[in-house]
Amino acid sequence: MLLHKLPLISILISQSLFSGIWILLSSDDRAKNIAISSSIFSLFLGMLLYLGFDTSTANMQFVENYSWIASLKINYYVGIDGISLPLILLTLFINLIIVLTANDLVNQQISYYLGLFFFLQAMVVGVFVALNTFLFYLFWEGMLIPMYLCIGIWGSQLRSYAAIKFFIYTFFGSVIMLLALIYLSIKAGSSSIISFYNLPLSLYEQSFILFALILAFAVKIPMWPVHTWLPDAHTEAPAGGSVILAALMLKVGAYGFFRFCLPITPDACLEASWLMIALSLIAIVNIGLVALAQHDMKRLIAYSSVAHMGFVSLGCFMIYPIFKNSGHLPSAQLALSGAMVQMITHAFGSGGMFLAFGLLYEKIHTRLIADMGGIVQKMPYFTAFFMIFVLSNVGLPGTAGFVGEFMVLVSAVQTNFWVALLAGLTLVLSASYSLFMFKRVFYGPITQANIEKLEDISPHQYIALSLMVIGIFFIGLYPQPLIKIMDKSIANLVQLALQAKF
Amino acid sequence: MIFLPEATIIFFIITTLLLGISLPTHQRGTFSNVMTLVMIFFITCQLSVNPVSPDTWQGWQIDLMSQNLKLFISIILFFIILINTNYIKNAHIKIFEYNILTQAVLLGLFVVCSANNFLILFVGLELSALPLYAMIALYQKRLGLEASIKYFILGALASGFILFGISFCFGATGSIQFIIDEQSKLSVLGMLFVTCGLLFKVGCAPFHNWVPDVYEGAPLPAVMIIATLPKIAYITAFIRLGQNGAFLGSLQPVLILCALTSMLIGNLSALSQTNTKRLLGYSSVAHMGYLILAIAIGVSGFSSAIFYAIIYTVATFGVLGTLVTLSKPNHELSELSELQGLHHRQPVIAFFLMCIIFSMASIPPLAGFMAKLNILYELYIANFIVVGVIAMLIAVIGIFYYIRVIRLLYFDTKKDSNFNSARVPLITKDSWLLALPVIFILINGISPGSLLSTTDKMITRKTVATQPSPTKKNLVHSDIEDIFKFPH
Repeated sequence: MLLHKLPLISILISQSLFSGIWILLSSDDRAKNIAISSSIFSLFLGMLLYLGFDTSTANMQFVENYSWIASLKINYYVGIDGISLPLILLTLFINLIIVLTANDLVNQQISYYLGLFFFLQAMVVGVFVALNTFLFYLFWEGMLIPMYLCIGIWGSQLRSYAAIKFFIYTFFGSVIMLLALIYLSIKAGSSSIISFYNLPLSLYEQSFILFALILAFAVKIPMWPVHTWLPDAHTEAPAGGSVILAALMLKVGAYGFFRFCLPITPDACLEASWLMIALSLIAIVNIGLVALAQHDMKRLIAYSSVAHMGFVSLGCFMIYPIFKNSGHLPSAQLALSGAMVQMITHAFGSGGMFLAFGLLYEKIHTRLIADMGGIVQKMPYFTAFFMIFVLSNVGLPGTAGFVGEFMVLVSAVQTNFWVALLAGLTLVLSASYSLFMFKRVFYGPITQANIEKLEDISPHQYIALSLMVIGIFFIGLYPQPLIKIMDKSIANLVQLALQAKF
Repeated sequence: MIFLPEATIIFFIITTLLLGISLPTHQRGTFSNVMTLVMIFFITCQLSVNPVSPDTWQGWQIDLMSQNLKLFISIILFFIILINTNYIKNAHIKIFEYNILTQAVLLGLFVVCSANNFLILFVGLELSALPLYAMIALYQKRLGLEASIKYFILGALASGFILFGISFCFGATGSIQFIIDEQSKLSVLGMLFVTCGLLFKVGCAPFHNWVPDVYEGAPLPAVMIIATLPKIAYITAFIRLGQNGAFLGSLQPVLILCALTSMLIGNLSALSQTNTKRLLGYSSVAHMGYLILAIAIGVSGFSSAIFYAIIYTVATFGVLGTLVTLSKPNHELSELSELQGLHHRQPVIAFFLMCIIFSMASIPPLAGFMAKLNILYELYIANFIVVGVIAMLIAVIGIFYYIRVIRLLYFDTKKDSNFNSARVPLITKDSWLLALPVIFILINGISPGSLLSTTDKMITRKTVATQPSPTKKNLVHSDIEDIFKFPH
């Protein structure tokens, strides 16, 4: 097939980089048009990847492998499988949404703003396609620079504090990860991630490696004790930055679990699974309660993000108790698929809420829930869109949010009654904080003068929000294509994750 | 002709001095500038045209490492002179003296690069240090004079250390060659003294106290030279000592300890600095820690040390070059707060500075990351895993002050009337020069392969050439006796 002969992945990454440079150098007026067209072109390349993708195998596809730094045995080695393809498509899609709404969300230096997002897109796609550890690390850290600048330049009052906190937290985690990756690549004699999968490691080594990896990924996801950078970063970041953070950056951490932790250190994961499940449950329940108490709307969405990402880590590590209880691979696979689907659907629910709130914030300039009220009277269409995002976040059947949560919950029942009960609490909690917030913000009498002057959204915002809504309903009603893409790769991953390595 | 570059420098120093004095005062500056540039051009031609044939004469070593590093030093110096020309002219620094001293420093550094016995090494160290002392005092302000005296006294002490150590080594082995006898305590003690002196010269903790003071007190053009060129040359001294096994025995833990201390002290002290030059001074102390760590690994770490030194030099050149470019004739930009909101005034320069600082903070895909990765890789292979882990954890501390600088450049807007808000031209002559280090750092961050293999070749060829063997040791011994003819 012709598609497989093209170096599509490299074309996609370099296209993002070059568009980024082009946009940086062009004037603010032209930047937006260039950005929209390059974003659509990226999405087109992504569709080519999808069309050429063979769902009947778990092997890496569209592989490119060239020697890059010979003395360190580092290769430029990229490829995609069923785990990375959905995330790449998600990245390109979310970037298009951000580009469409950029004019409404920032007022100054739009060309720089858009340019940064294209660099970010290149880096995030790079993380998902990299099959060489050092290439992975390069993209992983490369993400920090545009995100740091994005929060710091276009953020609100406390932006410097939030940006530095974000940078230091993630950098600390990544450095520890780098130490583990170097150890692995020296031990394996090659720095290809795939070659680590069959590398025999003692439990002692695995524990250290898992600890280092989890530190990096848990900060990004973020899991419970290391999540404190996220509310600050989300609150202070511009709306586009928040959307990227919620929809993509958090997924990068969870992707690390899929690509590194489970297949490389399966025995250590088995040993640590109870701890990870406990941390995930704490995130789900505790952070859910914290979200209930928020006065700041963006913080509330941020905390709900942490709580929902708890489902992803729960799904990842639940496979061990499930397999122990039932001895049945497909049930373990269901949990992992659930985590994967939850990653995608969370991007639509949480990302959509951040995006919609960003549009609202540009008009009313307040984040406090108490300052809002009665918005539905002035912005009925906007309210309808927001309602759908909220419902997807709550996990209403028929919306995207339901699919992932349902799959993880079904698996949780097979693990342990208490795990299922605590995880199930999230349905109650997220419904209460989301709907309570929705009621206070959108209904009731109009209390503020500036809400009186609000106008409903403009056509291009309508398009952007509709795209998100289409995504939510498509995955909510017909998740089959998504599950089909990832099916074989997840099955393969479950086998790798349940093997003993020594 | 193995002395050709050095002979050229001596010729040019004499010519510049003699002809310069005969010229009227206001023409001397330009004349000496031109002479220095021409000199560097000649040297560069000699070094790059001649195919390198490894050659030794007494303690004088010509090999790929010495020639390539000499070439690199010359090129960096060329750009330093070029970027400083305007600033020096306007800042009332004595340009004629500056150029003469620069030439002399270059000669000293070349000697260090080629030194393969203790005496020549010592001559080179002194030859490069003395003009530096004078250069710091070129700015006749209190801070500059203070820094100069401080550097001179401490430097003299360090030289004393080195000489003292050399005498011990000579006493133990009867040779001024780089021969270390691990059995003899005297030899090891002597080597310890020499190492301490060298650590002082590169500004590595616990001998680092002069670094921030000198950086702060000296004029920018002098800092540019102090902070970049000597580090490269002195590293070759470490490498030549190391190739003879100086740091493999009991000195290895000492070096590793010094390196870790240096990183910790450098990074911690830099956190609270408000002066850009002091900040850079402490950051250089931290960087020297990584360099010395690479040296301590042994032969396998040397090429990564050279790589690190090259990247560090180029990055430092970039930061200081930015400061020079942004300085006003009567006002040297030295406070960090003066960089505030640079992005809004000079977006291109701010971008360059950002790239360089991210490289210093070792964020991929910039060269600083590759340099650290290289060292870390070698540390792991040499089974110093815990040391590597500690080194990287300390690097995280360093991140904080680097991204604070980025914050100043990009996040804050300056409400200050000192700088008029009129848009400056995007690209001036100087900012083109600043683009060079950025391009270098980007290229070597994305594909460091060619530079890595170059540094690799510098080392491997050398180790094959001089395997210290017992027979050779005896030969050398008699050689020395021939030269000195000690009366018995």
